[in-house]
Amino acid sequence: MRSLWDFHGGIHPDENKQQSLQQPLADAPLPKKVVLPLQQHIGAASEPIVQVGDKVKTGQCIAKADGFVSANIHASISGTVVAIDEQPIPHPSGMSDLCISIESDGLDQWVDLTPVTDWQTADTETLIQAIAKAGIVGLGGAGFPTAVKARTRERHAIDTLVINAAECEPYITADDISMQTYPEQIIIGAQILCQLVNPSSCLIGVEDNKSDAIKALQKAAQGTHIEVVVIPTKYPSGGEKQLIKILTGREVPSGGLPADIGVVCQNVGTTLAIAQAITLGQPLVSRVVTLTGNAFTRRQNLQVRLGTPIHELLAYAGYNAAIASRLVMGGPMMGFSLLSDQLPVVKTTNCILAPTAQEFPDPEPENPCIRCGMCEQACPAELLPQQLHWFAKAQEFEKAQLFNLFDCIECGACAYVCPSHIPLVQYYRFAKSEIRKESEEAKKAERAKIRFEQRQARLEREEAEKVAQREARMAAAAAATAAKKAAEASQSTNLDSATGTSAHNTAAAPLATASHAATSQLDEAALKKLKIQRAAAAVALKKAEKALTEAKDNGVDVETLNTLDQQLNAAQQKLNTIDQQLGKEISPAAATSSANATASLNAGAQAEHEKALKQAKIAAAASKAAVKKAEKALIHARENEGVEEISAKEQALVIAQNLAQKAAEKLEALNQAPVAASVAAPSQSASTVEANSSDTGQAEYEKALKQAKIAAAASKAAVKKAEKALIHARENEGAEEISAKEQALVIAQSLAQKAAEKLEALNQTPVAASVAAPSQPASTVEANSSAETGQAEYEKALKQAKIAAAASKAAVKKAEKALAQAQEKGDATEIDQCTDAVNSAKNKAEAAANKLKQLTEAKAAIVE
Amino acid sequence: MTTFFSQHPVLAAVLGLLLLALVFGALLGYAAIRYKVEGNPIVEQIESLLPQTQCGQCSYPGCRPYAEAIANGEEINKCPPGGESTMIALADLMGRDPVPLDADPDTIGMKKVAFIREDECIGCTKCIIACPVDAIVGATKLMHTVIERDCTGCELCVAPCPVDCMDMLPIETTAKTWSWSIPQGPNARFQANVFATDGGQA
Amino acid sequence: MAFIRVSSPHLHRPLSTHQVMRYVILATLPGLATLTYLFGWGSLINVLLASAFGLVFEAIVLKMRKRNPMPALKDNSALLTCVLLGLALPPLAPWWMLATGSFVAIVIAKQLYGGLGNNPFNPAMVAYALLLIAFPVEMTQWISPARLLEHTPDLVSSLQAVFGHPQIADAFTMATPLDGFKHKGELMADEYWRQNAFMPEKVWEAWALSSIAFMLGGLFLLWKKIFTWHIPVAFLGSLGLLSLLAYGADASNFASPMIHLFSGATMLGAFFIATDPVTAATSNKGKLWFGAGIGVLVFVIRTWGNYPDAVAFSVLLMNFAAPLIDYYSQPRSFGHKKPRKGIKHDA
Repeated sequence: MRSLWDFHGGIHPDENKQQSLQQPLADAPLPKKVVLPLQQHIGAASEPIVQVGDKVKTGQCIAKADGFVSANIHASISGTVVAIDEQPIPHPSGMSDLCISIESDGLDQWVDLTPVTDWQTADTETLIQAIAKAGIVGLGGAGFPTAVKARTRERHAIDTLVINAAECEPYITADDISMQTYPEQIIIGAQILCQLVNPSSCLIGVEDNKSDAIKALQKAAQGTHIEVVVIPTKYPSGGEKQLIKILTGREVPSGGLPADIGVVCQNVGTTLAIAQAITLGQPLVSRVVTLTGNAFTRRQNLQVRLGTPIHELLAYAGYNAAIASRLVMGGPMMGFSLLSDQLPVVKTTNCILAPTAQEFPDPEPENPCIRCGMCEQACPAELLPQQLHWFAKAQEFEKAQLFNLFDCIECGACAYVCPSHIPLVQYYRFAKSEIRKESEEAKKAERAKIRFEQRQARLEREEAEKVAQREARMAAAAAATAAKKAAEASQSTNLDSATGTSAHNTAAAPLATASHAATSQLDEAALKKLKIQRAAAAVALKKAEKALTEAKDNGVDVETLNTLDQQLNAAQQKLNTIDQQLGKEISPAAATSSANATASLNAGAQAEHEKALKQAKIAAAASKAAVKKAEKALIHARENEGVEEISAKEQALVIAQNLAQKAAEKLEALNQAPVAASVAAPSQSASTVEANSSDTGQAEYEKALKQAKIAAAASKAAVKKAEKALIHARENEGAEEISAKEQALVIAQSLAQKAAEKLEALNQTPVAASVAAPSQPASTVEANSSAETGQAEYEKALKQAKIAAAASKAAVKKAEKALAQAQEKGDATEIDQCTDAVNSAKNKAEAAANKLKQLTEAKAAIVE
Repeated sequence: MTTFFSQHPVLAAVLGLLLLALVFGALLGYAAIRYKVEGNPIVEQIESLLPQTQCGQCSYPGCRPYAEAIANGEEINKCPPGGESTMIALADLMGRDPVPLDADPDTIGMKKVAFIREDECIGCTKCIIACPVDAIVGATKLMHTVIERDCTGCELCVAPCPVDCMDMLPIETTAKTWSWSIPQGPNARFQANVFATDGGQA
Repeated sequence: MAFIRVSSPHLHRPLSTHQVMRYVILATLPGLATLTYLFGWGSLINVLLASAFGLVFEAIVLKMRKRNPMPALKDNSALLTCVLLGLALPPLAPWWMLATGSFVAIVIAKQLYGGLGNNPFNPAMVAYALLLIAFPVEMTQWISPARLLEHTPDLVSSLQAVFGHPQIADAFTMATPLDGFKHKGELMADEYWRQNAFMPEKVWEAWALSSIAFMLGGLFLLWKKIFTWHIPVAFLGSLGLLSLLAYGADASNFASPMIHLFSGATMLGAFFIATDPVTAATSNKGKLWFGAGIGVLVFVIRTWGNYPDAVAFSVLLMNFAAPLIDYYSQPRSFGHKKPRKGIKHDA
């Protein structure tokens, strides 16, 4: 005889099991329609792989496991998929979730089943895959994917396999009848599990009130090393932790897993499902459900297809709604009351209870706690239930946590014994969910803070880069002016000498060229003037904006704001006018200078230029719109001031400020675009390149642009993937340890996003590059070769972009992998490994960013 | 010596007190060093209470600037996203009296998330620029989308949108996020006239 | 049938607060019967009168607190408090003392703290202590056992004694054994016993009998699992042990363990007063400390204090200590290595 241990507390409610044991296990009639929720297990919801209208056969997989902790879902009847939509699910909230509805064709045609016939010799992976394929989850109530649990051996040393057949809840006999009906299969299932977990002992814990089941199991277990252990009846001995304590004397550490103490625990129903999945190849499409309670005329256990609407079962079992006090899914201690009977049976439905008012009277009103301590005597987790109740009531969640609220298994023993009828379990559930919400929010706030700070840092960095670039440009411009002046001086000397002796001139300076040079010089002078004007106007605009901002900050009266606003507008208009003039000035300049060029080239240049101009105009219009918006916001502000709704005003001002800033940015962009255009247009007109080469360049550019776009899209997709992975992570893992990884992943993600942004920048810059590329021949000797060089340069840059994109993709993949590992583990033991993986992901993403930076630099080189 | 002191009692008293002052001063000084509490700077503590939406509804550009402002005496009721609980936590921390929130009572503490009606999005990137936590992804002329998980619901992206395709949707309760409410407690039927002492004991 | 949302569990043990209280009241009956048999109608009148006063006060104060009085009256808690008060007061106590006691117990010690479950001190003992301090003479005069007297007070004279003629009661009263022992003055213990020749015989017997009756009632409650053994055992154990040690060391100056355990309010206190869950410590370990504390205090006050009996003061003092005991006696939870010691905020 095996020595048994006892756990603290526990209760002995009336068992009420005999009612449903009078009849043998029978098959429920086939449902006309099944509704299969995509989330019938712990972890991520499954991903549907069928579409509305598809014909499915019984046992066909209709939704795949999405992520590591998830499970397949199979059609439980043959027929047609009629809907994939939100349907009410059996859940205490009474809410809806995504479900697949199948209308039966009445034939119940099965798919071809592929059993693992040689399971005694099959390797672990095959068996686990078969279990995963069959969509088996813990049938005891929690619904944890069994395949994941079966892998615990990979991480923990397991010496004991516990098959939980205690079934301690009153009324429920689903496991009992399964053991009486399929003892051999259960033993086979246990053997399969032994093969997977490889424990030194395998114990089936059965409460001593199931004598028939014990006999059947003991007979079936003869000749195996599986031991049927009879334990005294006491609720909640079927609790995983409690059963392990009873059988092994070991306590699962708080917050830990049974695997931490070398134990794996599986429900006996799950064991049966495993046996059927391996030896028959049968996926989980049905389960044993106890229909009991005095509101039924036929109280019995039924083999029910998953997704069967409960009302069909109720009708079958002779349910009398008039005398029922409520409808409960699960047992009387831990089940939840249903808010409708139009709900499907799911994988975790072990019992449907329809008690009368005599059995389950309506809950009595809550009385004050008299601190009688009966709850404490009953608590199997050795907590102080009444203390927790005070804390939950006063919403002192910190204290509740310190009193180990999260060790509560919600067994309901405390509320059962409470003479004051305090709904203790509801208090604990409330406190737990509030604590989870709070920590979720704290995590979110922390993440938001990190992201905000990172963004600030990035903006500062970009600003610094911009300043540096501007300074570099100004230096270059100064150098160019100096060079030009020198050239002018030499040219004028040349002219003088030409009128004079014409001997000094060697060869390459004909009069025409000189005159052209003079004209272009003239144009350039005008252009320069305009540019200066423009700069002045821009400065004025900025000043006006600043004044406006200051005025807003200082809270000056409405009129001042008005004036300032007008000033801003005036400056804006002035700037626009100048820009237009600038545009006009450029086109005549181009026209004059194109006299020397061929007609076709002229046309090409014109087109190019016009395109640039168009862009500039669009930008200008956009900025105008932005300013208008700012105006509007200001008007709002003014209006609200009268009503003294200061906060609203401030908000509006902030928005206005934002918009003004954006307008400024747009204007800056506008500023740059015409410059580029003005640079490009004359140089192109001056160039002697063949039209062909220009065309080729254009084509090349377009191709490059396309490729860059693809790269950008790829990186975007990568970001999306990362996001998705993150969402899965959040759904799959409650464990806090993962949150750290998630944060790191978020960083990786933002880096990937940055890559996308850089690529987008690339998207824009090629316009400049392509414009620049044809213009280069003007300064260098041969058009073709230079175009080729530019192209080569460009392709190189492109390649780098691709590499960057690939790298960022790889980073994301790595992050995903790390995530998967984290999921596999589900505990804190090997965080390091994951952290490493995430770090490497981060590095990769950083590398991507660097590469792309290089690319930007390369592009800058081309422009120069 | 003794005779000297007995002849000059005042001097003796002064000296005695001086001596005592020295001893206790030294003791206190030592205790101050030995048992010094390494406290968080107040700004950090305040910031940790703020919801980090970075929404600027407090008129400060972000949560940290507001935390700094509170440390310098700014009102504690300017954080609508944090709601009543944040204000009370701040009042606790700062030792001030709770004050009603300076915001529309309907919106206080309501969790929202930005949503882009994607077929209307023109890809202008304005919302991306406005987002303080980089929770919007997208590129020029390509559709944008909100990373729901990272969105703090600050609404800063709503105003810049030129086509008004941004919505602030309240976060709805789903079967996953649903939770049990707190039971009504004893005397639930007499909640209307409850004495202060009945709130709960702990 | 309505679909209702109810949190699990859906099953409840059919034992409600009012039933718990009823069990406790029932368990006092053997003690009450014995007292009535041995000491006349006094205790019974006490209990009935105190209960009547108590229920009226409870109803009035609940009305004033704008509560529905019916559920509170039905939960039997006020009744129990007053029954215990009536048992603790000397028989034939004048009606105004019962009224004052009930008022203090129900209105001040219970309802003003928030009603059932919120009172930090045992209401009956608060009232008892107040009466003891306010009316020390009346409170220490215990009626002599009826069987000792030739003319036992009949029902009519008992009622007369209660309602306005305390001098009738005076004729029947005498000091309790504990009080007598306390005021034996310079006499050695054996001298005292010799001088009061009949004292150890009959009076002692009467006190012991009623103590045993209360103990039987307490054991019934223990058997019904209304409370756990921890507090009574710790209380009686520590008191017995201390008195045994003292008596063993100096039998002429200290009362014997028998006197400590089986006279005065020891048994009533151990099984009915100290076990009041509202005011006691909650965890098993805490209950042991709580009970032992009462035992020690009872011994100390009886031996060296001014008052002959000490259960009320000891219980009240330990009521003070109960939160502290709870704080430091949290049990080890399942899956934890060590019990938590108090609340630490740095955790």
